[in-house]
Amino acid sequence: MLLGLWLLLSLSCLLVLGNGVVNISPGQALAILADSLGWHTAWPFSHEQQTVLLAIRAPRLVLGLLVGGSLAVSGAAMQGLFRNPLADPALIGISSGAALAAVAVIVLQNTLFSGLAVLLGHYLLPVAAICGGFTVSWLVYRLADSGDRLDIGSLLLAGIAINALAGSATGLLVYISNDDQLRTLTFWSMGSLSGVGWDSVLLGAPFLALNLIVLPLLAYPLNALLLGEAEAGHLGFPVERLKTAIVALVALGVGTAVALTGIIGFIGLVVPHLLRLLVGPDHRWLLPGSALLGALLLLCSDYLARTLAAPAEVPIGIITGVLGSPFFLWLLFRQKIMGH
Amino acid sequence: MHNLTSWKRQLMRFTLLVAVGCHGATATADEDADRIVSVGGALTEIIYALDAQSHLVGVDTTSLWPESAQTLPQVGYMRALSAEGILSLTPDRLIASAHAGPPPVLEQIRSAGVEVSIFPEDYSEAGVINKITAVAELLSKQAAGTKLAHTIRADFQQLADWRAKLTRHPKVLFFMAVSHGAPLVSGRDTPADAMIRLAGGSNAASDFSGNKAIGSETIIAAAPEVILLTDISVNALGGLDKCYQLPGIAQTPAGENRRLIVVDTLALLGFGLRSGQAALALAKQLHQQPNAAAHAE
Amino acid sequence: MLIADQISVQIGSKSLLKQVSLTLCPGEVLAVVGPNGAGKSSLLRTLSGELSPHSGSLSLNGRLLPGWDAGQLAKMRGVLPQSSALAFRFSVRDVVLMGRSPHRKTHSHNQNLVITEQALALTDTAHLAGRIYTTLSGGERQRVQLARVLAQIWEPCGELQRYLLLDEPTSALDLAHQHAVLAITRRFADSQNTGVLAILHDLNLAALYADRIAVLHDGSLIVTDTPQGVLNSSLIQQVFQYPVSIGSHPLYPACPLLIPHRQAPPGISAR
Repeated sequence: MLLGLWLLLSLSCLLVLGNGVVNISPGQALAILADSLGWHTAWPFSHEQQTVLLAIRAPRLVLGLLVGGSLAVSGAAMQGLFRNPLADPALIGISSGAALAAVAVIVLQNTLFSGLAVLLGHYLLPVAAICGGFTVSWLVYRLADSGDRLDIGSLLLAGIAINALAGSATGLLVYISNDDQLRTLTFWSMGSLSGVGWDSVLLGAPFLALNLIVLPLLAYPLNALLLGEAEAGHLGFPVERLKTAIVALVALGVGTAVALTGIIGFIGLVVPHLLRLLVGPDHRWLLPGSALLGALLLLCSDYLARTLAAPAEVPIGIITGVLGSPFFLWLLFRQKIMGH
Repeated sequence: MHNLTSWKRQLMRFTLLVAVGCHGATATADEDADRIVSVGGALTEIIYALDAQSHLVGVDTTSLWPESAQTLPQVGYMRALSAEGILSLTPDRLIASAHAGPPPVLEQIRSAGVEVSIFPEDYSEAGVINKITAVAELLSKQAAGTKLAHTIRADFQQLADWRAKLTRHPKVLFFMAVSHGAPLVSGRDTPADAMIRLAGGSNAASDFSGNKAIGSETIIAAAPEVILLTDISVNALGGLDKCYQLPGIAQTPAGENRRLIVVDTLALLGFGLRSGQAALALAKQLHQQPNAAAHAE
Repeated sequence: MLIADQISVQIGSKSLLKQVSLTLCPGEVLAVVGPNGAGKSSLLRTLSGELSPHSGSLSLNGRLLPGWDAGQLAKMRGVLPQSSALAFRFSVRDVVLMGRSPHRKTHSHNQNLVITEQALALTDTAHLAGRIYTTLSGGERQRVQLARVLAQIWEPCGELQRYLLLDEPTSALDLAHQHAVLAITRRFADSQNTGVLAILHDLNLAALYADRIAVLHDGSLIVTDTPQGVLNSSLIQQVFQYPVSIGSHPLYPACPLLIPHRQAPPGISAR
């Protein structure tokens, strides 16, 4: 199953690299890649093709894989932590915090943040979004932490309350924004991999990779957590450290993803669900499987985003939503039928 | 309403004149290889007026005039451009409004060897003239540019002359949108505000900047003598008569004297070539006697 | 040995356990009984490390509890919860295999699978191995959870003794299942020389399977003795506030049998 996903993903990578508005055949794509590594092949390609492939499609592909994988793995881990298949990384306030910070930057850029804006250029938005996501999820975490233990029920409730608060603050900023800012943040909130370059990849890859590598290593303790926190403790797992680590890793991955690509919905919720139907709830398969399927889904969504309305581009959040929501509804419907 | 259409026709004629007049210059300039993507309605208008439309290989969603621009390949909304999409049109040049973005996409397009020129958005006569001069220079159409700038200056001069004769400046509110609940009203630092002042009115909503949703009490308190509505809003509401029924309107002088006016948003707020003419047309409407306006309806 | 020495547990100003001292020896089955709210679960949660004692100390195999590494502890001490809320669709085999997770670094996956099958067989749940846990009945779930805990402490842990703590293992079960679970536990204690502490409500069950019975009342340990020593009518009447007679089991004369009296209909005795 995992092997199949690997193969499918590798194949899709090649296809997606080669396909798009600018025509590049798979052979040319390989030739360009080989050329950039120093091997010159007989296959002819143009300078334009080379630029498009190396400077636009490749970084976009890499970040898309990392972001898609991270979102899905984080979703699976959150569902394990909350022992609820409907849990979502957004529950601990990462997305709403990142959104609040991003909107604050867009709306107040010329007044409050002008100094920072000069300093950081267009990195200001992602950096602020990461900080915002972390701050809000840290707040949620602190509220649920009673000193010696993290209460998952309180985490959920604190998350809901803080999300609502951040949402109101975002609303207030939206209210005082002008038309231009409003449009900019509307597009930001729909998510996009457009404009992703190697600099964004370098900025995000370390965090996303950490999330992608470490979370699947927590498969055994996450399985044990499903039995109950006390039971996981009796099986020898350091439960408190584990919960903190999961929240931190999810905040790291999702915070970075939101900061670099805006809000891309449904991957964190739908991919782990689909995987549970295919491979069962065991995190040893669920986590790596989610990473692969999440990457694959985002890759395909991004391919559609940049080709459907070519030469214009559709926000990717719309595509994942369109692909995700009907599936989610079907899942709910199916559960309802199976319940009776 | 018929006022708007008539000046539109007039302007078409004018554009054609400019086009014919500049034809010789195009043939001699060695710029035929230039492929241009234009992002921004006003810029596209200027390119057409300079008769350089044959170079256009793509435009954005705000490039709606002249109508033939709408048949060109669409690169999408100006704030959400796609690097690969634009590059697939193999342009040599990207001419874009300062609102175009996101910045990393412009950076990618620039690094792919496309010359990217960004034009500031300034809602004034000088803004329009500067745009014309700069675009003409880029396209090596200085002669046509000078001519076009001259025409536009003449438009604004005519407007200024008209304004000089005015003894009073009626209070005007501009409703950007009226679809749900409170109408969205244009305050300071908006194209609508600039246009109202150019047309010899005074913006009754000058105590805030940008577009804001305003309650009916505030509208009544502002006591506008004229209310401007966009053609889009009026169509959505189902005609001008329906607009008089909006909450608060009947209690304003504009409502009492039936002084609601529909404007062509694109021509008026785009600050392109038609803005001078559009402002003049608006000025004439603003300063009509109330009973005369009722006749025109 | 698992030794609790003068442990007291408090939550807020409420005292749950008052200076309880208790020893659990390898190979013995110790039943903990007492009326509702006597502190039975608090005792078990303290012994399992979920609650920290306010004062007093706990030691396991000669070392204070906080001195043990959690992974090492998991190989010596299994804890069966009252009920487990597993909402995901794991197979029964996978649930039992989770009991082997403390051994995942020292045993191959196949070794762990073999032990899983043996634990399933011991608890008479082998036929359920392929079923989805969430579709099982309460009695089946309890036996599967027992299999998981047994798999966890399946093999000797070097020289170190193993212990099993069971929180009301029979509460949701019918007669046959109650005896099955206790019989399995008894056999495991005997054959593996493992110390078993089980919270029970049924004093007769305790008398049938336990070596010793500890009676808790209002957070204090009243007595720890053999069934014969504990089951006398005055003690039971005092602790449980209910009149009983003590007879002996018709099949096992050495085993006392508790016979409760009929309660007078409410209100009649008052007149």
